[in-house]
Amino acid sequence: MAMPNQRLPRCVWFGVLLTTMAATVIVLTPIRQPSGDLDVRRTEFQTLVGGLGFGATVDLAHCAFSFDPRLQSSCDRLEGPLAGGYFLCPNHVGRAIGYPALDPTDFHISAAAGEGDHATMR
Amino acid sequence: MRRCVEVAKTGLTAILLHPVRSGATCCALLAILVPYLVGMGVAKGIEHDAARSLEAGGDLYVSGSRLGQRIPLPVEMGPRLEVLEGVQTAMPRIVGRLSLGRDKVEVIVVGIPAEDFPAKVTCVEGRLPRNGALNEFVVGTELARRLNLQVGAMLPPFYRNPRGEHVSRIVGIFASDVSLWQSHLMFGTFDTAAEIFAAEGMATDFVVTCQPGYEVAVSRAIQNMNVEAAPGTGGNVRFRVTSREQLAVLLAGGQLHREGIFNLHFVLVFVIGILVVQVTSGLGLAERRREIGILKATGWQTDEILFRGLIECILLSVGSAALSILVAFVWLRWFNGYLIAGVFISGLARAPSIPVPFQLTPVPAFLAVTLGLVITLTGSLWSSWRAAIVPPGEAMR
Amino acid sequence: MIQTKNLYKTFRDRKKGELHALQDVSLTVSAGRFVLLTGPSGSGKTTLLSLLGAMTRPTRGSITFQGRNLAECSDVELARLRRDVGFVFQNFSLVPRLAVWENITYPLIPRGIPVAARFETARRLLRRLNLEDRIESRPEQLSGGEQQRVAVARALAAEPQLILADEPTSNLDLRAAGELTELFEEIHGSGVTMVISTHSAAMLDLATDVYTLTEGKLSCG
Repeated sequence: MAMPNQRLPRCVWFGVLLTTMAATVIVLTPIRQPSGDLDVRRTEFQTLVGGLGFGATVDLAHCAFSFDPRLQSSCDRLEGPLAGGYFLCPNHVGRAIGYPALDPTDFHISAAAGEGDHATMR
Repeated sequence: MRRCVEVAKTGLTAILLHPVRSGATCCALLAILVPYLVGMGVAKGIEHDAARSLEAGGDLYVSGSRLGQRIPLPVEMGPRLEVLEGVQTAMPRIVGRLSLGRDKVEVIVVGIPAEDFPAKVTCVEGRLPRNGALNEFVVGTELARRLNLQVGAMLPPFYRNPRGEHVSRIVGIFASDVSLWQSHLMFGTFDTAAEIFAAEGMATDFVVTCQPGYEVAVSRAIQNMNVEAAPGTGGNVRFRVTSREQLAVLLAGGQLHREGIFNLHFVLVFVIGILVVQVTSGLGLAERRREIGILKATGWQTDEILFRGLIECILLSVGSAALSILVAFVWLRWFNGYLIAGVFISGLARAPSIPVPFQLTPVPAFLAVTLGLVITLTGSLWSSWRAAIVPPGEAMR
Repeated sequence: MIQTKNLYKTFRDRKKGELHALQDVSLTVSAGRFVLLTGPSGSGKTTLLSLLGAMTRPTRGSITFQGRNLAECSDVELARLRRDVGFVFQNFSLVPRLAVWENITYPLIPRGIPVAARFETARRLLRRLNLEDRIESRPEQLSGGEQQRVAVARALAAEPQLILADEPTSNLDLRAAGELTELFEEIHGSGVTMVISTHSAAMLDLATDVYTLTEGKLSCG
């Protein structure tokens, strides 16, 4: 008598193996560079609009900062605090990407004599 | 070694012995890991697009600020900026917001001087706007879809200012794959944008390009410019300069820079996941306890039973993570993130009209396996351990 | 082979207080003997077999097996000692989702015996027990008598020198019980020491020693 049948049909084993291999290939495949034409189009668009868009938002409805910090250096909808020192912007809830504000304290009044009230970047 | 291999093999058998429990655990892990991987994948995709946005954009962005609030700058600032040493161009730009139609569709109006338009572009279906009697626009794909706009369509007047209002014409639609951020865009000439917002002679910001190596010097020079250099602003204006490097630092922070809410959500989800797995591991717990009792009665040691449980958890978590990666990939690639992409990208429709940017990378995948393992171990190993430490006779009862 | 001295086992129950399952039990089982334990239900037969099978620890007294006092052994040592004892349970205690051959050979896995050799062992034992055609069946597909024979095969898989059986025929009909008795006789004939608790009169004829337990106290005959 031969060995008993496998507990799972061979096709299931094949499926499990294939899933694991596919997942490995997906995550190990180097970042896909867009095709030549697409690459040109994308760069062309950004050049046309002067560089626009940075965060996980497609409009300016509530939070320009989460659309592009070049338009607004911080989020003025921070409400909170939540436990752990977190702050909550309703527009940021669950969003995939976040970044710290371009700290307005980066700008300070220059103490240089006679230069008056103007800002310098630290 | 042989002993370990044979015991490890029974870990796989244990998964198959309890299909309901294994299936429920796998489903719980999928429910946790798929949104996590989608979120991380989308974040990576956005990072790539953001990098391109920085690369193709200006070196410095100059805007005005008074009392801590952002204010527009007069267009006359442009020539003053251009005379600074190291500055190549200083292009005024208007970026504003309005809503259109009965549904109040959010629109981002961007205006650039027509003379700064390239002669020919391929990222637009149609042509670029021109200055003229009619307001001409290129619109984003989502906007075109929501307002049912085609090239050549006319937009009834949607603004009113002291100079009246104008009919607008759609002369082009952005290609859907050029950027995430084109979807709600209404792109026109600088004059048209100024007309809409009744802000003639003002610019939201200046996109400054510098000669290589001059960025810091130019930035300093702009910040040191006298306030009187900004006529028409009422004085007391500070110049706010955002440099490409500043934003590049945000990008370089990568996943570590993701702010709390996303992570906070998932910490909560993981805790709930542990509880869910604990409940699912309770499925058939009496049978499992009895089975462990039989193993012990027939000479299995506690460490062998726990090793078997560990292998079971590892296989379940690796398998579930692999399946989660596959599901996340299929969902994003072939279903374009239907329903789920909108969770991670604000303002996106349930069925996005633009290709959702994503990239699944090894780090989140490794984290998914690790988190899956932590969840399954915390959820199930405890019950196995409890069953394994009691005398076999007691466990079999 | 195995010896107990002044063995006590006391269970503590919140409602009933202390329950003395075994009191001052001293028993010596020499190699090759066929020992029967008889006595009414609740007299402590199962408890004594559990102690002899290293499945639980005595409250007091000693059990010496292979020259070691089980009362002083660690859990790991007890588990290792259990590998040298075959145990047949009253309720069969087969894993319902495992095939017959897997049930029989599960005790061999921690010894690192590969699957092909384990399968061969199961086949050999089942052939001996006339169950070879049920090698891939699940326990629920077998009759009570067949399940108990599978349990015996599992007890024999590791080729132990001592087999303990706790009322192995109590859940079987007369015919199955008779077949099992013959099987035990055959196993004993191959030199294996047997300690069996039973109410079965049929086994009395096979026994070399008979002990009776009454309210936890052991007496001869």
